[in-house]
Order: sequence, then structure tokens, then C-alpha cells
Amino acid sequence: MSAISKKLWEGKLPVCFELASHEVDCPTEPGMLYLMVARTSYLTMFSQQIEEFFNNYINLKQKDEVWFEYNGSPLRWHYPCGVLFDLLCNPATDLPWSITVHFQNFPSDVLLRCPGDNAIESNYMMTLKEADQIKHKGQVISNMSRNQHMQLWHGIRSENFDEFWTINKKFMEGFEGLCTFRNIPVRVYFQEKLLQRQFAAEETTLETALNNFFPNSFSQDQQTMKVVIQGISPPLSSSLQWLSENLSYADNFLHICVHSIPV
Amino acid sequence: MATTSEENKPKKVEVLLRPTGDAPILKRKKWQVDPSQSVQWVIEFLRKLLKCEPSESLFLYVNQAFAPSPDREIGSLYECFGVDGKLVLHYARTQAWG
Repeated sequence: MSAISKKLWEGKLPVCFELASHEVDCPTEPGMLYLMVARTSYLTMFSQQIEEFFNNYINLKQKDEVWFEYNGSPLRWHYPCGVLFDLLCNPATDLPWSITVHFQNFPSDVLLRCPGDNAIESNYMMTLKEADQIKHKGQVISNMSRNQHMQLWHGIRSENFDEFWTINKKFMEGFEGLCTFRNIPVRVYFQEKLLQRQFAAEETTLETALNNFFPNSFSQDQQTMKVVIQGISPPLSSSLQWLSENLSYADNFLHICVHSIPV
Repeated sequence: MATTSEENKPKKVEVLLRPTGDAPILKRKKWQVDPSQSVQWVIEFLRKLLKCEPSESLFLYVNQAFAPSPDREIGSLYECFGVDGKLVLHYARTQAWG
């Protein structure tokens, strides 16, 4: 468990939740709900709190499942909050992060429904299983008990670093006695699209990985795109194995947001 | 080095559908699927083939280990979990793994 992991775990985003103005069904203004949201969390973890805050101001007859929007884009709750922020916001100008809350017209063609806490936990566990398939052929997760799985999720829910990392460190061990993972699970987000590949750990750098997604777009002296992982832009020469051990999210994927730099 | 590259990305992904538990066997198991189609699309396609009632559930698994998110693209699953040019997906009527 590195100091970096602890620092990232404690990373929070100030979010201002505001009810969509056309959904206000009350003579008094509902006001705004300010929350500090952990980068590792998922937006729908806060649904209940948000619903309680706005419930008196909406038309209950037209009420559907709560969903979130930023700048015209519906927010995919099954991506970690830190990924959504790095993907859509500029930290220099967009803080606090102003998210619009909706209870009507659920965009089911774009968003997955989130029927409750079980759905968030299940999404997390499935993503973690997928990452472990890539890192250790699924051996680490299948050797864990149901209690250990629950401890991981409970650690995320309660934002308890030690509770989570006591178990999560097993995912950071090498594959079958090696110092590295079997492969490194990487998700890249670019222009509303999720791209996923795996990379052999040895000698792969961030630059090699990115050039595999975007041929000839990344080099030390010329860069046409900006890369953000966990809110920072690491050097392109960083080892992918090191990044995976230190900058992965709780689901054990290295989530990389890529932005075009305007010419 | 990367294990896959843009050049050898197939136009269509060969998907092999295998039943698990009491799920019925399909007459035709191999299908050519556009890599940009989603997991949800495959589930709906399978539901039609198997004539599932709206009340019946259907689950889809990769590597007999995890259920991918319904909005995942088949192409991105093939990138990591394709074997011998095929993506093997197991389907089940009840939750089989995880």
C-alpha cells in the first residue's frame, strides 16, 4: 500500500447537485445540495440522500428513477466518479462540479438503470472480476471468501482505506510468482467511447499503450492529445505496471481519459 | 508490447454461444457479430432465439467468470477475451457465476 494509493483514496470532488429547473413542481426553490464525493465512489451511491433532499419539490406522479446530467451529457453511474470528472470537466474552471438531477424522462437508451445498492455492488464486483481475469486469470478473486468480497465493497462504501486495502493488496501481487501481472487491464475513454485492451507488463510504458490505441499520436516531443489518470497527467515514459499498481481505481482497472488538444 | 493491434482487428467478431445450467442448446452456436454491437444487443438477440418470455431472465458471461456490463461493446470484450479468433459467451437462465 503506497502513500500514493492513500492520497488517491482520499481524493474527493466537491459536487453541487441541482434539480433540473423544468422538473421543479413547487412554489419555493429547492436550493442546492453540496456533497464531497470520493473519486472512487459511484454517483448512484448518493441517490437516496439526493432523493430525500429534492422529494418535496418534484411531481411525484411523474417521478422515475433518479439520473444525473452534466453539460447536456447523461452521466454513466457505473463509471467511477473520478473518471466522469476527468472525462467531462476542467478542474481549473468547473469546480464545484455542478450536476443536474433528474427524476423524469430516464434516458434508457444511454444509461443503465440502477435499481438499488445491489446493482452498484454487482457492477463493481463484475468489473473487478474482469480486471482479475486479465491480471491473474481470475485466480486471486476466486480464492477469496464471500466475506472478503463484502469487505472490499464495504470499504468503498464507508470510504475506509485500511478495510479496503487489506484485501485489495492481494490484487497487486504478481501473477504466479512473477513481479508483474499477467496482463494489465486498461480502459481508455475518448469522445464518449470506452475502449478496452490489455497489455503485457514488461517494458510497456504509457506511451506504448496509448500509441496502440491511437497510432502515432503520442511521443515525448510531440503530443496531440492530453492524458488524465486520477486527475493527473503522468509522464508518458511511466511504466504501465507501476501505473496499474498505483493509479488504478478500486475496480483494479487503469482508467485513462484522453482529450484532444485544440490546435 | 501490446498483445493486439488495430491492423489485425477483425471486421466481424465470431461469437460462440454456449449454454450453462438448464439453458437450452442452440441449433446454431456460431454467429458473426459486428464489434460495435453491445452486450445488451446480444442478450436481446439470444432472447429471441430462445423465445424467452418477458418474465424470464437471461444472463451472459465471459470466461465463465463475469457478466459484462450491458453497454459494453463486443469488440472490446474480444480484444481481451477472444481466443483462437472467437469470443466464447456462456448464457444462463439463472445467475451462474458471481
